[in-house]
Amino acid sequence: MQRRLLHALCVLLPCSPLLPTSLSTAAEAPAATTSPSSSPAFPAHHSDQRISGELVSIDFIRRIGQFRATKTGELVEFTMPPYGTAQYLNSEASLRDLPLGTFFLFFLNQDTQGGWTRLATMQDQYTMDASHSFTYRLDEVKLAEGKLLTTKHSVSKKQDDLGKKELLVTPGTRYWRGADAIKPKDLKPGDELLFTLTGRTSSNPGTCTDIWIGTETHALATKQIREKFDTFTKHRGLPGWVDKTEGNTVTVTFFSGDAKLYQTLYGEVLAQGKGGNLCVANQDLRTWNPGVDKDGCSIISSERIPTDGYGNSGIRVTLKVSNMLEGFRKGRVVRFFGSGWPTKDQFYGESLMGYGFGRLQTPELEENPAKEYPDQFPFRTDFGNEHLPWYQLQPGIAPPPFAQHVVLGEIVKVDAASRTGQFKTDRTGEVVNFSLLPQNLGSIKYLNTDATLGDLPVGTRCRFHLFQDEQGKFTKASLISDEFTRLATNAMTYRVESIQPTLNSSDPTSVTVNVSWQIPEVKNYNGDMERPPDIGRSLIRINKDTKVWKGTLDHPSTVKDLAVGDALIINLTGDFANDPAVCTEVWAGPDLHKALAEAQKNKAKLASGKDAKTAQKK
Amino acid sequence: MSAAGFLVSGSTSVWSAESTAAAGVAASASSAPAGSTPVGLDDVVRPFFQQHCNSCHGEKKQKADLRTDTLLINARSPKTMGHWEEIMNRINSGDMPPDDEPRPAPAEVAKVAEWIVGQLREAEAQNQVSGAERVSFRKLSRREYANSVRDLLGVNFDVKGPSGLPEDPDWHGFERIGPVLTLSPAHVEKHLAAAEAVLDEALSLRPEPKRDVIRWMPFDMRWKGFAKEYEARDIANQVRIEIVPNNYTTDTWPLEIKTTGDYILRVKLSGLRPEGGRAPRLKVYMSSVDKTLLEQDVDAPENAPITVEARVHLIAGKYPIRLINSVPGPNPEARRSRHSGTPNAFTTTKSRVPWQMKLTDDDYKPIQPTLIIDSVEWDGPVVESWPTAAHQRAFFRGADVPTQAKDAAYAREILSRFAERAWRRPVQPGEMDRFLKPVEKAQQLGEGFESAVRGGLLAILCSKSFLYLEEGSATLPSARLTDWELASRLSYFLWSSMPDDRLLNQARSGKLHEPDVLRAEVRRMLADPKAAEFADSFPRQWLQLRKVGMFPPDKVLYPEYDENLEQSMVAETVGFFGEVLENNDSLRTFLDSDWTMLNERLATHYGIPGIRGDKVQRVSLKPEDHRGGLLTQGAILSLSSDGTRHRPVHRGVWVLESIIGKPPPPPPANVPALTTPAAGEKKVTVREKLEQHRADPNCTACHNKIDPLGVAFDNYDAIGRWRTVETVRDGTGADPQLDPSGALPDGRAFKNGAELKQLLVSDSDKFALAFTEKLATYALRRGMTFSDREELKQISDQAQSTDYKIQSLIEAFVTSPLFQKR
Repeated sequence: MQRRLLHALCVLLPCSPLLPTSLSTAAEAPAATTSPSSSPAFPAHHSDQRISGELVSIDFIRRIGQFRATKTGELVEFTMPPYGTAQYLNSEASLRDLPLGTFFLFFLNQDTQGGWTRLATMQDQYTMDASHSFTYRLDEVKLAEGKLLTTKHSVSKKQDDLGKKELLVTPGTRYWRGADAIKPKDLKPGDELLFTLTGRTSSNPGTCTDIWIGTETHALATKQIREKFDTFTKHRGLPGWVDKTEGNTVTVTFFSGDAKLYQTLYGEVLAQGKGGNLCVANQDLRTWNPGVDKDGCSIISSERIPTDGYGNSGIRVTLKVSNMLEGFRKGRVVRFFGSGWPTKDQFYGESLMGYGFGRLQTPELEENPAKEYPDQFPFRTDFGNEHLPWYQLQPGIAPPPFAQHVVLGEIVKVDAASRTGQFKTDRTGEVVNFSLLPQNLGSIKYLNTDATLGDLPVGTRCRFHLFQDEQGKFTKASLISDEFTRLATNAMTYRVESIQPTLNSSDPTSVTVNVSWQIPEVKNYNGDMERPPDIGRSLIRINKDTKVWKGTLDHPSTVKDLAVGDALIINLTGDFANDPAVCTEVWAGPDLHKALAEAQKNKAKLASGKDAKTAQKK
Repeated sequence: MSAAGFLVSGSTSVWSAESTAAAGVAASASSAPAGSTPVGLDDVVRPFFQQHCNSCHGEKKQKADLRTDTLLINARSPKTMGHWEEIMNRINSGDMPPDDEPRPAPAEVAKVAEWIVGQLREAEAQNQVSGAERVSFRKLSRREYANSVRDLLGVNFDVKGPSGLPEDPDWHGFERIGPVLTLSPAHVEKHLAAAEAVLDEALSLRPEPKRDVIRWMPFDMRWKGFAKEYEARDIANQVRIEIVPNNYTTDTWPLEIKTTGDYILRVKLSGLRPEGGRAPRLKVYMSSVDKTLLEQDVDAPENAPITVEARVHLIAGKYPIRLINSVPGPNPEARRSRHSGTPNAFTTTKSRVPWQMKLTDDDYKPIQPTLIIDSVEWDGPVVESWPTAAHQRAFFRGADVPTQAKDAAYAREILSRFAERAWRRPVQPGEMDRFLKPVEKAQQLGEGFESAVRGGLLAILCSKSFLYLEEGSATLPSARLTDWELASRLSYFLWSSMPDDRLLNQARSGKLHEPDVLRAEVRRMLADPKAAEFADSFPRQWLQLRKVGMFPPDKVLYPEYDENLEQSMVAETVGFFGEVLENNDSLRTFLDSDWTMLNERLATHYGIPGIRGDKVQRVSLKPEDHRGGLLTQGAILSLSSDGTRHRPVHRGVWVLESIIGKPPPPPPANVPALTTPAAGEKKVTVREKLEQHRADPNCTACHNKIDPLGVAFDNYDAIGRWRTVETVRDGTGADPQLDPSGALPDGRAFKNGAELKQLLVSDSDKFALAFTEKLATYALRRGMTFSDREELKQISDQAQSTDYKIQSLIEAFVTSPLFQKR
């Protein structure tokens, strides 16, 4: 029960997908650095549980995300193991190319805690149909009713009628013929359709976001995604894990969600006698500094192996390396750069080392020692060491970094005087009584400023750094902070990509904002300021209760004042079953963020002055 | 002030010594019989001159101002001997006779050249003989200087350090030949500075040094920024420092020594040895002064560290200290060894960063020899007593002497007592007067008694009688040594240091020269730990071991060669000599043996399994090991090679010089290099190339004597590995088989090195004579002359009766008239 409780406490919220979970670590077991002596293994086909849902957030860097389950409406977290893949438009795709809100089927394996969180692969509706050579023949267009009447069939399998299918369309639905967007009036009966969906729930079949018309268009759509993925992969190197090392040889099995395609794309590059560079990587497929770490290698054998599990490319090679590096170890992940491929660092923020750039201002993206080097921690952390007990607080002694168990929850009530309070745990709704550690060990951060418990508005979702009490329950808090603080500390903002009414919401004022997570510009190798690629994407909700600030702190704005391109910092409520998190406050624009930071700084100065006076009086 | 005053006095005394010596040489040169006629001049050389030279360099014509028909040998005349050397070079190289004159037969040329070279050597040796001088001075080598100040004052002075003394030049390997060791003004400065440093440390004229421990823990050395975090994690005590192989450019830490003195250096560490591989090797190195403080293999499991320690002498100052894992290994760039900013300190081999070099296999068993450091301690300065023993001995009346008793008489007595030991002889009346002057002057200028006396002691340490071994008397000329001189000669022969009290007492009693007394002293001295100096120093000089590594083998051709191997090779040869000496084995053992001294590194190199550790140990040999005696030892085989290949000619010359005692004439100028086969031609061995070279009649005569002695050991490559095929880069086809067979000049044939060794063993008397000559050269600090030959022969013949046992030979030598002759 205890482990179940901990598991429940560890879950993520929509707007905090960067938050590490014990689930992700637990799920790493087959390839974890903590047990390198065990041979890595791909989960067998059909060992998974398949849950459909809409993609809500995705962290490109750490390969974690969330979807809202179609049947229950609950938010579900997933972690992608190194071999995990995404399928979109019938091609393996980069996480960056997956549109949020899209309906996918998620193939989930169990983690070591028993949760179904390890995402082996995910497929959109298009892929599910195309991979079985199904298409939808357009029978009739009823735009006035928002419907397309079709017949599901398979030309190649000569299955002419697999049932009638009514596709729902909206004014926002896009139609593609070849590379061109066309108008719905150009649809003709007999067109072969494939589509992606959104808004699907247990009671709603969902509407089409995009419809691709004609087999040539289908081939083109797939080809475009495939080419993007190929470029993406070549830039970072082909990932695989080490089956064994011997002398100066490393045997690697590569990852792919489409073994047949992989053979076509990379079979020649991975043939015996070919050369390249091998680079060390972590379980999130991030590399440190390939430009320097790269190790020249030659392929001394290349074999086809049965693709008996998710993520297995069916290609295993043995490479002779010039230097045997620590990361070339059984169970660890490596990336292979084919001969002639530029062996460059990943983008700033994605690379674990950030070599050649300015200091990384996003601590959450830095190399995480508890995750990478669990042996360096004599206690359990949120990232590993499940076999060890949690760190136990000692009177008057500050706990070390990574000793805390981080739990997200919405403030229910607080008593500043007694430094106690209650929060409602995200997702489960369980109410937890907490107490803040004594003054020098327990602190509050609100709007990125030192604060007191009383400053935290009830109803705000916070991040609790918790330690066990005498009964082993996580009730002792060393730090409580709001989402604003997390974003500000990590120099992150949410850039608005689109704003739309929230589908299937009972609240007519609710809008869903599609945001990309951006980090600040940094100086690149040439000393020029450069905006790194986005590090993730998510959907956030705003409604009539949300306080929106834009341009000034003197008077609030409204959601209508928000525009595409605005950079947001937010606070929000907790996320519960059938009660998704909603922003409590939104601050838009870098100038406003600066003004707010300044105001908070002054407030802090004022507070410290008062403290000093109080101390003097005493 | 007193130091400045003494400087004049001290340096004056040194220069007096030099000028006296120079005067002695000049005097003896003028009195020596000039132009005597040595054997061979009339029947070998003059007929040659008559036939080929005198027409241009005779009575009628004296081209180039040279007349050969009347040229005599005059060993004391550099000009005359210079003419002979020029003649040898010209006829050897074929310059003379000129092209338009009939050519002499190569054998004839070789005969004359050999005769001349013998005369040149004789002249050189004669000039080193001191008997003709009234007083001779033989400068102490720097090693002897260090040993002497150690025994005199208890100070371990580092003569090789930057503030030490210049390296001594050698003469055919010997680093203690009187006229070769000179004293320039720069040397005087060095000696003055050295004496200052020695006395500062020896005397207790400063506040008592506080012994302290400078302790470097892992967080001090590498993980500075992580200490608090690791303390909070509660595993700070598990943090260590891993040191990868071949890390010469990383892992440097600053050491500040506030007080000069002896320190105990302790390193607690583990050393991970890969299965079937080499143990890591710790080297503690002071890079700024090029000094290795400690170097040894470390073989200790990760969870069972050991502590290694060494007593080192450190001079006050700041030094970068490198902790090096000097075993070779793949460390192509520091990038693979450096550490990241992530708080991931090394606690076990599992805590390595992925982009670092891999130290263990998938099951965490070591694959690279790795050192793991727990701590480094510098404990010192070690002061056995305070005031120091040297101080107490110098200021013999103790610390409580009333001020009024610290008078000139006490100062004189202090200096006299000190000088008697330092000079290794009684002090003559009045001899102390000039050493007292700086003492008095310093006192007049307000210096305290002890400080002023120190100035006098300093002058004594810089005086000729300390820096030189003095033999002879300006007033009482003698052909034999006095007992005092004999004590020094014996002591510097066997201990490379000053005589101890017992030996001086024997000299004082006047009985030291008596054979029974001398023999007993030799036995006592050989049994003393200080005899290790002889066991180390003599073989190094006799066998010219300082040439080992002089031309480091090419790293591409010989990647296995490293500093450790080089040191192990020398350790084998030196250890072998020490073992022969300790067991009083026969000299024949040097020529062939069924054992040798190996450590793990060298045993691995030789392909002999089962030897562990880096200390050399006695190892039995089997015939298939192809080793035994000096001639097949790595040091010998490698010093006679160059950086790329074995050199049979060098090996042959070395055997002639060091084993047979008959060095060949030097090669003529402009000898062409051995040819390499043209493209497409088959590969040939060095021997085959040499045979082409020897086809030149000008080369044949000498090379017939030299080459077979070297070719016999062709089965050993440039770094002493056994082989049957020579690896040849140029040419086509398979690498050629080696043919080590040959014949001695007297016609006795041998198939290989092993058979040659047996021939040499059968000529043990010749080797014994050659060895005795080397021993005498070392002990008497000069080359041997014709006039010494008979006595050398007698000594070696005497040793024959004891089967040439080495200690017996030494006894016979020391008790011989030759040893006691000036």
